[in-house]
Amino acid sequence: MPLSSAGLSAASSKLAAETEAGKLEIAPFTRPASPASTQVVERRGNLAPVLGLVAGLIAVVGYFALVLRQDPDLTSMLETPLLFLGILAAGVVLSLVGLRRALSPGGRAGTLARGFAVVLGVANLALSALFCWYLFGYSYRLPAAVAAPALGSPAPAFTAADQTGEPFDLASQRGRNLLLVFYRGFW
Amino acid sequence: MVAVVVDPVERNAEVADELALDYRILADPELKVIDAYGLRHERDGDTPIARPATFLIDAQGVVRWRELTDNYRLRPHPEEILARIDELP
Repeated sequence: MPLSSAGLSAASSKLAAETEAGKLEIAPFTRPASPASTQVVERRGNLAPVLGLVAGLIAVVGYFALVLRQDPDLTSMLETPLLFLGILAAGVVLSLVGLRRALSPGGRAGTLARGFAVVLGVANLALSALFCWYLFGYSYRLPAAVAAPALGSPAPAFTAADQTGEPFDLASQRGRNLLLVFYRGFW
Repeated sequence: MVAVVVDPVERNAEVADELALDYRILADPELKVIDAYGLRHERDGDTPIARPATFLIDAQGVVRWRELTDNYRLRPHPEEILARIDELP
């Protein structure tokens, strides 16, 4: 039968009449249940950037918390911060996974969820970059100590007050060995 | 052992108390000692401080060992310092 607007309209009126008369039952439309695996993937897509940032924060806050503890037994963990770098690396991987999911076309995540994932991912990548710069860049930014007394040369004389205000004269140490340590200060 | 730092006497007294330090901490707010040892670290827009450094000075006042770290996070270990002290006559 050729389909015309008049025919369609007639069919539609007939259908309406039959439905009203109770002759035709129309089953309510139900969305097919989405497979469980799809839901899991969607959830993970939101979880990765969150876990990534959490890992980054644990690494950075943990590192500086350990610095502040000033525990001599734990200094090797700070000098070779493999534990913190490992946590940081895991966080970066999670953030990259989260960003990839958020930025890839398709998928069911809404714009808000995607934007949230991008913000968290970028925040963790920035935090990680900053921490690496601190460890491998900033902490090496020291002036060359070209004028420091060389081995075998006399230690420059000085007098300075100790924490009780008592003056200390280097010359008074003649006859005994002395360990002289310079600190950065601003504790 | 004595330490040198730019912080004033009062601050050093607090730090020595907080950390229960039993050695003398010398205040060098004008960086006189720090400059005598060539250790000034100028910082952009911030007060200059000392770059970390450790010297072992013998009984004749001669520098026998020094450690000028190139990374301020890394300082000589106590074991190494003790070994260097043992090497002194």
